[in-house]
Amino acid sequence: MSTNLYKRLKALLPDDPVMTGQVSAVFADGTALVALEGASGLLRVRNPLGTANGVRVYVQGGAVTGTAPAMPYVLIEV
Amino acid sequence: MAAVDLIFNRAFKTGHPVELVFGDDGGGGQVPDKTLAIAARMPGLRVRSLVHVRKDLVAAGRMPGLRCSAVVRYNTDTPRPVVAEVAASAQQAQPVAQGWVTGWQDTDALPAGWVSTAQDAMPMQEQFGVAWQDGQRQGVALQGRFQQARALPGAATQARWQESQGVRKGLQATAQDAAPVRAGWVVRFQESLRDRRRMVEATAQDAMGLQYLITTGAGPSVSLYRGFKGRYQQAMKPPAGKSQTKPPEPEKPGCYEQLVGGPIRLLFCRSWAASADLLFMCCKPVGPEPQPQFVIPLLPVYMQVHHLTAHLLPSLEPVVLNDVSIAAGDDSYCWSLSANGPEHLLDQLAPVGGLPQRLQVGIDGMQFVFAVTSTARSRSFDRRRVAVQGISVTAMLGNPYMPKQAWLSTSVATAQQLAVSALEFSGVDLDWQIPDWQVPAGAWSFQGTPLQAVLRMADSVNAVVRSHRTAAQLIVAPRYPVLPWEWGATVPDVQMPAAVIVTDELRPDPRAEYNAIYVAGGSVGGVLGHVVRSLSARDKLAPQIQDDLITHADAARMRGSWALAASGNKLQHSISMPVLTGGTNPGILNPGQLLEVADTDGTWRGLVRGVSVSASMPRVRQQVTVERIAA
Repeated sequence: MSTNLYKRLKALLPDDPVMTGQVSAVFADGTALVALEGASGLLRVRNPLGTANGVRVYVQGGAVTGTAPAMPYVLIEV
Repeated sequence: MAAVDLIFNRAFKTGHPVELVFGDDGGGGQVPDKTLAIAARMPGLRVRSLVHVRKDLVAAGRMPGLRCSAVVRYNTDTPRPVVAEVAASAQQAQPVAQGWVTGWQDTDALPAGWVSTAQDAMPMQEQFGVAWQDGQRQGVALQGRFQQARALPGAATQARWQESQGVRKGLQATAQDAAPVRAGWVVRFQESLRDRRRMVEATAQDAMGLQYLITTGAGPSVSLYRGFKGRYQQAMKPPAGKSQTKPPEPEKPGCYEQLVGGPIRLLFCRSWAASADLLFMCCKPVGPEPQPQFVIPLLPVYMQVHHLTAHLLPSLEPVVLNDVSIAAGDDSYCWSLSANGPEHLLDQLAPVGGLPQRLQVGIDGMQFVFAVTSTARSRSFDRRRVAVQGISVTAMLGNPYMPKQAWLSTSVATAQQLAVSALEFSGVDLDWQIPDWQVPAGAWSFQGTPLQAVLRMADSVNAVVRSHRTAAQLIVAPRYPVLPWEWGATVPDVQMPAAVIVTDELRPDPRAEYNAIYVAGGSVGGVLGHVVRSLSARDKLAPQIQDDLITHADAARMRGSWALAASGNKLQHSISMPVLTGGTNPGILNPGQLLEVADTDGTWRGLVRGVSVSASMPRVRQQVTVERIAA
């Protein structure tokens, strides 16, 4: 909880975070199944760009917004 | 005792017995007083007179027609009975005369007695002189220690000198006690004229009291020495290593002392273990524990006199303000001011040349510089006031004072360099307190004011942007200077007892707990950081974070670790406490400080998230919001 009232209000509103994942299945109805990073879940999102299966994509607001690069993986223990 | 003269005034008698009569002085030369009453009858006149005769008689009368002849016969050789009282008084007069003589000898010796009294006082002086010599020797030791330690607090030195002045005061008090003794001598002298015997007894009693007084005077001098000892124990308060009178022995570089041909000491300082390995290690203790920078001591009474100043910069023109409130938090980049004042502030604080005026506000000497952003006048019956709003001068970097620009990195630069370049020519410094990371060319692209650029840069790793209290300086600080699971092992910034808390409010802040998170970068040089809590199952994965500026593992580490640190149940503790300055007191706390409070229900630590100071003279309170971990 923040001391800033505006930020406290903003935290209540739904936000659309950008997530990365890999398309695991493409459906004929224009949606695709995206496996989020680190096996944290599957999302079935709209696929307006017609991204093919196996491509890393950015997902925001229930839609694939573009292809994501293959970024180097770094394991950080804190 | 004076010699007793034996005077034989009888005629020599032959034969026995010879009677010896003491005290009979024969009455020679003494004429008793007699009263002669004369009664005469005279024609037309009656005279009755009483005449005291002492050895001879003088009678004078003038009467007409009277002739009187009187014959007085006094037989001097007539034996008369000696009055016993007289004899007794004569016998007692002898010792009285002796006492008187001895008294006179004492009074003759009075000047000498005074001198002897002074001589008695001399050993007292000597004793005090010894005390003085001790005190001087301590002073010398103090100087020696000062030269060698150089860091003894000045207050202790002054306190020691004050103690030595107290010794002088005790000496004066002894002299004052001696003064009534002298007065007693004077009184005895006057009384000696009235009654000799009583004087003698009184003198002896007074003399006893004199001795007693001197004895008691010596008693307190012993306690003076004791006081010196006690003060010496209080001088042990400075930290160890600074109170040594001689310089400490230099540390031997090695862990062991090699004695040629001598025994080698084996010291086992580790607990038993199952392994048979031989481990040789240095068993020397490490240095003293680091102390917190600010400590509020536990005192029965906290007393602080506050003063509030306000001046315009750079003219230092005084500004009348009351009900000043100054606040800062980790969610705002600046310190903000709100205050009230008289109506003329509307003109005094009006912007000059389209730019807000700078206002310097000092609370107990802690200065803050604000840019006055708003002066709102309000009028009601019999009351006119101006509400002043101000924020740190770093706000001059933002809207509407600076135009928006487009920022694009065309070459490889670090995040700090990109932030500094955004502040170029603005006159605002940057204090970068978080690890720096490299941003490849093209990864940094932003449109906005310079202030927004710095905020965006810090927001990419969720760092905190603060403003300096007085200078035009932006501070990029870590969200968690120390990660919460390392709070217990670090030295807190501020240590204080719960006694300084005036009021507080403890509010639970439930949050989901995560132990792993993915932090993804952008298309240009981004990395995918998998930040996990060490020794955890990594099963509670936080929602993924994506930021284009996560281009290095350091950035991913900061962003991910602070996201994990913010998860889990927290407590929001809002504390109202006085502003204590001087000594080790912290004054107004800063956001981001690690606070340790010895509370009534156990010591806890927390991170200061926000500070709000309200100064309505003569009362100054600061409201501190502390983020704690829910146990």
